[in-house]
Amino acid sequence: MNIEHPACGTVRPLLSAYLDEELTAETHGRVAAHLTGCAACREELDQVSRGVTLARMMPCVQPPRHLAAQILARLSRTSQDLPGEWPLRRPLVAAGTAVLLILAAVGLWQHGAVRETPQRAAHATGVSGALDLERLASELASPAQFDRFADRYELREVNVEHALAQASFRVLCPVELGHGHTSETELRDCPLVHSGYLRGEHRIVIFQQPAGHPLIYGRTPVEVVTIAGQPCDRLQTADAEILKWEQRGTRWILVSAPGNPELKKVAAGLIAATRSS
Amino acid sequence: MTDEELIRRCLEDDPEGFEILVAEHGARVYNLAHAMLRDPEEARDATQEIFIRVHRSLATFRFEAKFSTWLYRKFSTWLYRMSVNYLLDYRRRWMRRGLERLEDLLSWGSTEPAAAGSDPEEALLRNADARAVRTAIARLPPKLRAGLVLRDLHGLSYSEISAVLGIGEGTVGSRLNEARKQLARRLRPLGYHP
Repeated sequence: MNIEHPACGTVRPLLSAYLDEELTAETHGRVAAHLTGCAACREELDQVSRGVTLARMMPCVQPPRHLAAQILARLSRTSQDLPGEWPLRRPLVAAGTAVLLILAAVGLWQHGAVRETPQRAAHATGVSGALDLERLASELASPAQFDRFADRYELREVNVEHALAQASFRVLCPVELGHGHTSETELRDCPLVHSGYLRGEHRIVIFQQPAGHPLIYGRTPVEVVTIAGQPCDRLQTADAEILKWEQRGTRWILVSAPGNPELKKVAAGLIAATRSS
Repeated sequence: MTDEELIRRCLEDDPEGFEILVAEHGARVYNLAHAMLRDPEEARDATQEIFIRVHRSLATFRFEAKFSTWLYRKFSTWLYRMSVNYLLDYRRRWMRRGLERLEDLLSWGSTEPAAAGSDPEEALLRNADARAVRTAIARLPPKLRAGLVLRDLHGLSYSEISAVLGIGEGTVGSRLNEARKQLARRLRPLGYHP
């Protein structure tokens, strides 16, 4: 039976420091003397010691290759000045070719201010002219192109599973008809272009609208109804709901609330990609 | 070349200075981020962000020479402090958005490449052990985790940890106590009883 001594309350908080030899010689001696006569504290010391051994089982991990180069490249990008603001109100734009729909809360488009960020993707320019949708589509037509685009606009890609490329989305998108009238368009069989991971904070899924459907911008929320043919929880981009699904290893589709600054950057980046020469 | 000399070069707009700084400290920061965040992609993102902030703040580091303890003038302590603050804040932002469950549900995991010439099964077992420990560490409360990682993975002294976390050395010891005990308790049911 372990009997606790009054001194145990003083000794126990010092056990880690005792093990790590961080105590003064005098205190170390007092703790050692106490441990000689206290089985309870010896047991606790044993537990602390096990924790040390276990923690040190974790090996050092190799950093990603070219980490230093990536840091310097990003530093180089962030050092550029970004003038102006991005006017985020976007009209409905008809597209003749396959375009990209960002599964995100695009309510941020209403806001004029872009979060101060040095990323070039947040560069604000005046909005004029049609989007170069072909260029946008061609930029993301292949994984290699996406990689270059993602690197430039700081999208991050995690665990790209090739099976995902076969997934398709069915999406309901409200459409403004003008004069206060709205309708709804259904996009079927939207193939996934890529699943990305934004700055370690949010997962973003980008899928491709079939040819002939209009590009949806503005505060129009979208509703994902099925993924890969499987019904899913109704997810509206206007809410910060999280859809959990497991399909071929993919775990989450994450949708952020309107105004999320990270998604602003992604959205702005995709638009900027069409404008850059 | 010492860190202080490198920083002087950076402040004199010598681009090579920062490159060398990143090369020398990048792996350390990445390991810290990896231990705190667990996900390799998040760790990479966080490492990049930390160095961006370091670059912006180098001028302020110079002025920390006025602090009384030499530790605050030591670049590595300053770097650890910036890194831990960012990583703890990162976690807080996750939790504020109610996404804490994601980390439990996502099993990003990571596998370290087996050492050359080792038995694949042994490597697999080592990987499994490392994963179990990493998961258990990741589930510690952030403040406890930070102290444990700094001491047991990065070998910082109590005084250095105290400077990094802005807490007294006594608190460093008591947090380490609690972290180590929790780690042992979590892993014992899985058969880890060294």
